[in-house]
Amino acid sequence: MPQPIARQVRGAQTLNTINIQVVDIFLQTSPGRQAAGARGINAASFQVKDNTGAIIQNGTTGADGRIQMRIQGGVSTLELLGGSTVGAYTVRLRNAAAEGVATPAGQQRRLRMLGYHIGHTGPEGNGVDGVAAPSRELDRSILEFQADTAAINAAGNANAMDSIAGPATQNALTTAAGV
Amino acid sequence: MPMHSVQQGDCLSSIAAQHGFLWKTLWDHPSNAELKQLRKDPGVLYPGDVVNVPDKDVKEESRPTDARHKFKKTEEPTRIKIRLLLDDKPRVGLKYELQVSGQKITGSTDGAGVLEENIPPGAREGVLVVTEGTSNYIYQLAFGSLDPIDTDDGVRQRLASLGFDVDEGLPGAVQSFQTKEGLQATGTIDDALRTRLKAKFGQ
Repeated sequence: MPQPIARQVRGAQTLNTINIQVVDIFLQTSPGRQAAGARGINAASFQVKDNTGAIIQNGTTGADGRIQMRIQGGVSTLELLGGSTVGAYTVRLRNAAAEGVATPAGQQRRLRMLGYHIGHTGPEGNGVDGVAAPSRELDRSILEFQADTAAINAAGNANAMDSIAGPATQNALTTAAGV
Repeated sequence: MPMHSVQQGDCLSSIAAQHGFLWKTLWDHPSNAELKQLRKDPGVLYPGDVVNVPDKDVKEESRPTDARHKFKKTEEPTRIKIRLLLDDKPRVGLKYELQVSGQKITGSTDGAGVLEENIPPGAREGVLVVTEGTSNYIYQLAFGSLDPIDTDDGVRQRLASLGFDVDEGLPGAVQSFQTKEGLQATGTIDDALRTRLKAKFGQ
């Protein structure tokens, strides 16, 4: 869709604005690998393309793995580079808030963000289907997440490894995913 | 009196230029009073609007024969003014190239992230290439295609231009904008939304 631009008659004080939104994306290792503060992936090269394929941003992550990604016209693609493109993510600004962490869909979305395998079901084909336990994929990924968090939380704040997303597991999911 | 039925891409300056008038002559003509009242902004008309084009007055000038006389035609340039923002902050001093009707106009944005250029009145499309570091941002521009704020199309265009995702439906994008602006997040297009959106977009 071309960008509509109004012509201005002489002396008009009006103008047209084109804004680019910015979202923070954190590139991290999965929860089981490092303590919470040390999960950022450092020095990863990336580039961002708009929906015409033009490169609109490139750079390298710092110690926290943070990418201030530019979203042009509601959607951009983030490519991770390691000699060639090693991963590509289409990032779309969602208007709706993230599903609540108490719902199966909310748990699935966070587990997927954290890199757990939750299958390819659901309307977006990304495993977020909102189907509650017992579901093989959801149960297993919750169990994996609990095991990973327990391994890190040596202080005794470990979640029970029961593959049920109770309040403690929900809190841990929100903390780990940042949403 | 001939009438000009507005198509997407028309605005008062392009219509006036096409018929050999200054935009103000048409805008202030009594036959267009209703349109002026409805749209308020001569730069933003809606497809289906009708602009009345008055007959031209014949101006008579007496000049002796066998001599050379100069007559000057008054023509006004059409301008476009675009503000470029990143995360709602001005993109200052960015180099750009505006390609329109085979011409290439270059410049850089001012302290408010604004670029302002003259374009031929008949031009309906152009390409704006903005360079930042090693990256190029390419915008396909459709001149005169901005719809009035009191239409859903006009609201959709402004939200999209401010970076909201309108592909998932207009109510969702309206709600996002309302949330960000501290308005009540109803998802409904009302006067408060239009006023704020107009201020944020610039018209």
